[in-house]
Amino acid sequence: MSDQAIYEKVFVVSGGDFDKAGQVSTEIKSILKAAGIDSTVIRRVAIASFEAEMNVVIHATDGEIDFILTPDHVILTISDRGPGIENIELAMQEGYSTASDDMREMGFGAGMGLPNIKKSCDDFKLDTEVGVGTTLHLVIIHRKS
Amino acid sequence: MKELPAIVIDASKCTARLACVRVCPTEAIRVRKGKLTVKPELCIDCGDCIVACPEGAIQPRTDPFNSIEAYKFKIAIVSPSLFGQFPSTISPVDIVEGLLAIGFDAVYDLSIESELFNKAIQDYLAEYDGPRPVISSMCPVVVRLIQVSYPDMVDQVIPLQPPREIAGREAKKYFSMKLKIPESDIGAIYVSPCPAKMASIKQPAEGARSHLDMAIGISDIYNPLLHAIMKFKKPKGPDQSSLPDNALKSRLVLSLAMTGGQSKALQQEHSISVAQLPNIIHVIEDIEKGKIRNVDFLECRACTGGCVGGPLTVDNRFVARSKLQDIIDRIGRERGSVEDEIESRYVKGDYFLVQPLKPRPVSAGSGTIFEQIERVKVREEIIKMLPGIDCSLCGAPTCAAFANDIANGEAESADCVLLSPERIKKLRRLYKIETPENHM
Repeated sequence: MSDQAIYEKVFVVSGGDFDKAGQVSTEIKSILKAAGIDSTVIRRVAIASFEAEMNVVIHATDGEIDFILTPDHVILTISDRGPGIENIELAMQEGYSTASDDMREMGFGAGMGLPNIKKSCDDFKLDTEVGVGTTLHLVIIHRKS
Repeated sequence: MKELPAIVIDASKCTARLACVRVCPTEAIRVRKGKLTVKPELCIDCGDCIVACPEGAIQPRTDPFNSIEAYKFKIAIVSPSLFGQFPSTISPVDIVEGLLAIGFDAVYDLSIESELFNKAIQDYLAEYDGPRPVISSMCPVVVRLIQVSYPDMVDQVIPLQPPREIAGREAKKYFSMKLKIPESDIGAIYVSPCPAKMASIKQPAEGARSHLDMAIGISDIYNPLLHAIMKFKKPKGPDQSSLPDNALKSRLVLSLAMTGGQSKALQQEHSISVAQLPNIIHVIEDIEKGKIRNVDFLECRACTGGCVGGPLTVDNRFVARSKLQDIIDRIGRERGSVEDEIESRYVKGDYFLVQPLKPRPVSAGSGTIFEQIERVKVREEIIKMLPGIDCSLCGAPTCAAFANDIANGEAESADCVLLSPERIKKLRRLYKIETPENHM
């Protein structure tokens, strides 16, 4: 019962669209604020969703962010169609990045994306297939039971 | 009359022109049934509504000039922005003498306090190992914005008293000893460029007591001050190569009145300076979600150009800034004597706020998470119905804010002109628009 979705919204993210990058994270934040979620939790969700959104923008052709709120959890599922991750272990290391030089010049690709996401979440799962895409399952607990 | 910490609203003057509703950076203002209402918990004292109102219905909550008479000995603690408000033929010395001529017994130079403040921050930053960026406390509007909208970042705000507060404390101590009168006979009166600093004296953000006793707006004393200066002397002109000790001992105090002045003085490597609330909100949002990283020091000023462009200043803010810069350039570089004074007066750890700054978050409304999320859903349904043109004729600044108000039971959808022909008729009556329909 306690893990039933009380709110769900799916956001579409286009790869390469740096203009709109970060909007999903902003919208999720405002929903959580309106729902009265604790501000430290909101900040963790904001960081995780922003990094995940940026990963789609930087690396993939397109993707979706499925945002679910339950009475105890924030559940984010970020799935993209893109190159996938060849070496997960490397990708999880701080400072490792496959972002192109152009991206780095814009200040992206610091190699902190996945490690930051993992740090912000209570549960982190990554499924990836090279040449197909990547799916992240993220859970953040918002109510201490 | 309705009083908030920084503003006073005279409803009888309000003609519901909506300028304040549109300009308020925290969307705190509504016009309902032709009348202005403010959500006090959202007001961050910026004063943008004062400037925007075409009818003068919103005024800063200043003390009238004659109220300084309540004190036997009256010290003017002057915002450095004042020095940029006069023609360049009037020097800082003239301005100080003018202040004495209109009734102050002393004018206290903030130079040393600004240097002490700067030194205290350097010491604070050297030992700080909390989350970055450290946020400047120079602008009280920004401090309130963080308390209200970004409560998690409150601990990143520099917890030191600003120069004006240090000066209030030091000036009272100094004159009480010198004149052998109790501190209660001495009034430390701040001459302010903005309503936020006045509010910070009446209700300090950290909840302690201010060392300043009252605040007078620059615009309130400008005329008598200018007349006094013109009367007692022919202005010396801008050719002075140096300034006497009693006006301005150091340039820092003037730089702090301008956006970027503090970052420059602190010589912080990774710092950014931002002016105007929409820009500030944008930057803080980006910091919050990690889009902006590696910034060590953040200086935000609500007013364009900094305090020199405050809502209670009188000259054009860009001209005033340029004049302030001219004065800075004229102050000589030799400041050996000042450095000695800073060294001798500096007491490490003496400038912290008496109480820590506390968050002042706005609650999302009462109820369980189920009830709250229900309101979110209602709001989303309403937004779909609305035109999304943000005309503000409903009395809310945007369609999104209006949807929020409806979801919270504070407004009804019939307040939208495009959803209700009745609303158009009401507004035509309110704004006295003549149409054939009215005459029928």
